[in-house]
Amino acid sequence: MFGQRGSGLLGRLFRRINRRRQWYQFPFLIALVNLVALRGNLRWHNLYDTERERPPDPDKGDFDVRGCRTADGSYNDLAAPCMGKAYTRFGRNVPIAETFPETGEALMTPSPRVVSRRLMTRETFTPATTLNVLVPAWLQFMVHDWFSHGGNDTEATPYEIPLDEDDDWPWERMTVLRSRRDSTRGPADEGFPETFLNTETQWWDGSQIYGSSLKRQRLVRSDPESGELLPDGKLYLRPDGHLPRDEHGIELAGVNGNWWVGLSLMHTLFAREHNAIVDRLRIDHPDRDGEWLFQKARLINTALIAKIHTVEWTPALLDTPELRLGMRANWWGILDEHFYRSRGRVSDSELFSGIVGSPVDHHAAPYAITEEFSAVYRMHPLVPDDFDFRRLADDGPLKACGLTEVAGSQTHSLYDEVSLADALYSLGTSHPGALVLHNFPSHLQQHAKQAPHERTIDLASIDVLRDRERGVPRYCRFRRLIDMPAPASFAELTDNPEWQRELEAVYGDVEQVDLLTGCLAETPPPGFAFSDTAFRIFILMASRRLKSDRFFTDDYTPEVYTRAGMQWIDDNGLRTVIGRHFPELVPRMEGVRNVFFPWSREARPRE
Amino acid sequence: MARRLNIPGLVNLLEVSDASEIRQLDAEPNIDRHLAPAGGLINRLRLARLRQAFVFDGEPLPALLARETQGRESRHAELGRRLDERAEAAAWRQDPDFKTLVEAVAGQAEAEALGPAAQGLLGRLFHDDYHADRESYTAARLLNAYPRINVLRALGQRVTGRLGRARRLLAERARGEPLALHATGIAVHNLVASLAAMRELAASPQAHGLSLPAVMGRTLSAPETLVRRVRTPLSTPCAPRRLEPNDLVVLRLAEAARGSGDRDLAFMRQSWARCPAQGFILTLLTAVWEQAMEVRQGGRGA
Repeated sequence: MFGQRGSGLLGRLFRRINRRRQWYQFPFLIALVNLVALRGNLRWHNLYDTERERPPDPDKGDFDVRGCRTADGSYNDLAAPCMGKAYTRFGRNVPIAETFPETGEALMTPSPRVVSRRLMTRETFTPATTLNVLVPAWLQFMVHDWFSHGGNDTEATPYEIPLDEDDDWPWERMTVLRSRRDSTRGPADEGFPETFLNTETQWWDGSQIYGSSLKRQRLVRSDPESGELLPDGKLYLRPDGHLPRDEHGIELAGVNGNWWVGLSLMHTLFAREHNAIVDRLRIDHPDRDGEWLFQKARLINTALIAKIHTVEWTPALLDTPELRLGMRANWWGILDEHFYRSRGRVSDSELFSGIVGSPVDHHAAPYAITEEFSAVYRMHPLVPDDFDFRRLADDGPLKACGLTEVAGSQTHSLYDEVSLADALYSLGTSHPGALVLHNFPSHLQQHAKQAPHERTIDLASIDVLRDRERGVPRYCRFRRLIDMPAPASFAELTDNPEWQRELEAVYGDVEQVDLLTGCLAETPPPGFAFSDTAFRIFILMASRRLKSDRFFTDDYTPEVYTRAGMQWIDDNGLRTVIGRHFPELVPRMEGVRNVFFPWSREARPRE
Repeated sequence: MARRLNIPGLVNLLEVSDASEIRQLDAEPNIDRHLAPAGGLINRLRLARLRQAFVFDGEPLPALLARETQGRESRHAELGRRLDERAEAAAWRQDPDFKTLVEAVAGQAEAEALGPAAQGLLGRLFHDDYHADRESYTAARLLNAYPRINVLRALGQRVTGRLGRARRLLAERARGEPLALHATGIAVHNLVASLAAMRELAASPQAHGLSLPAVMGRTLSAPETLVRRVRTPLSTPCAPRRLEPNDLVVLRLAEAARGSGDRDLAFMRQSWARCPAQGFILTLLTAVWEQAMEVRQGGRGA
């Protein structure tokens, strides 16, 4: 029958079944098979390429592209060296014909500011009580690895967002810069929808730590005093163990935009982890130079981060038996970790032995992060407005402050009063916001951006506007395009009668609801921290980031990673990483099933 | 994205839905249109259905002629020129059926009016007195659906003579001219599907904010599939195994055109099998949309 290049009979069968009943409404085993079928369908029907002319192959010089990740992400696919490179296009999850941007009146209907004020404003904080604030920190840490649209277009006429008469926006007008246009468009793109460039490497390659260019990579590897590259293959950390700072006073990293304490902690932690890996590799490879040690440590650190995201972060947010098994199966296969570690892979099958180490496959389109993926990853409600820093030793208060005081160049000042361990403890024991309507951080709704961007923005309005500007279909259309039923009324969209009324007042017609608003309004499946709509894109793209990447598939081998490297990835998770660099935090994580769940605020004596 | 279905003696076919692969296979000289019986049982049945529906007086309709068929290319080129001239002259804007199309897209006439009106308008490109009605449009729908319906229904339509009557009616109205027959019996369905999608879009709140390319992108309907046959053994990167003579190659054009957003692909513009009506259809659809939007906004429209 049909070979493997297709969604297959199983996919067709569940396509029909899911018109009446969704995957999470089935018993465990059927739900699991349904998820496999869903992913298969999405792989073959919801990946679209936007590159119409193959860019010229970049010069690789004498760099070992087979054994190491390049700084700009090129040569991951050796047959298509530009695939996933920095400054290549975002792909799409919906047919290209559906991605023309909204223009004119439709772009501002309803006004993004009205959506922001009436549907997003956080009157009281709604916490996600099963999670801790490391969740948004980690999420942003990952997003900075995968994508950025880069700086906005400062030359084009900005958008003017209509304001209600009673709007409390402190200025007379609200303007928003346009997204930067794709400078690589050519005659072949004529008549096709707008495209946008991803300024970061699109691969899961730790580029938020290491940068997406050789220049940035050298910066994080160099001593800021001398400007010299560290000869030992390590990332530069100050003598006190903190990250160095850039010219704006923000801590330096591969990507340090939108910086806040959560990012600061993650970057510091994994810069230290990189250096620990270098130390381990040097034991087995004393003759290797700093460049080799750096590149191999990068590979290992990156794979460890991918593993943590796959088997720890994602199941924390999708806390159901199906997803806990499903995400572990992405890494180790359904035979699971113990089998994998004792017997290795049984076959090339990603189902039995995991995606990691299976053959590479891009499915329906060359690999790229998609606009729709970036749209469903708008999860700003996770960020709390207020932070309460407490002492690890006795949970006593240290400092209470707002988000602005622990963001941008002010972040590092926090460490004058709060140690890294105390900060990690405080985030580990606090709740993030729930991904629902009326929970957008107030600080971000009127957010004064610091240097070098100095301007005040309403991020909620911008989130809504960007989806429309970039041709992301609105909620109902989007659901139909990913083979999900669309609600016919506001009552079908959400169970909350108050929200139904509010949505109707703002949008009038359910077809007009923006993707972001719909995802926040939707009643998620039991155990889920976010909507089933967003989940469909995650199930596709989370697998794809692994399955398309040569370093997680064909070349996930001891020859490329080293034996010690493979062992390091197998032996570690976020718990051990935190424990290695902050051993005093270990008792706080004891008894906690997942490090992204709230930690214990009661000190347990160590035996 | 090619999918191979291969059961020796029963079926041998390759389905392709990727735009670049479709172009590549279409350009391959060893893959052609050919309706003579050959291949596995299902291949033969599939070809037989096409013959039963689309061969008139022993001659396949133009869209099923092999690329080297004598006179095919020149007839196509001539038709293309004629339709382009018609598009420019815009006499069809005075056609009462054009007004019906505008009203139907604007939501002021029933959707059922689209079919006969589109058929009539297309028919009059060939014969000034072409007459279309519900009966002729129903006949066209029956003819167009025939290759895809299940075996029993197909048998029923042949035994009861429904297929034969539909064919005769369409041939009569088109005065036996293959190009007119093709336009009013087959091509009309893509036009109607596009107009129906426009009608739906026009009723949506986003309609006014959409640019014309966006409207076309979302509504333009391409033929669902094009069927080709392999003439000589052929290795191609689009297929996991070598293609053998008489294997069928099914180009899933609608899916590819929508997925890639490539309007030219919907008309196979760069192909030897290009649609000669591209210019005319795009001009017609643009005019219908613009006038329908005027009507919806309370303007005069058509």
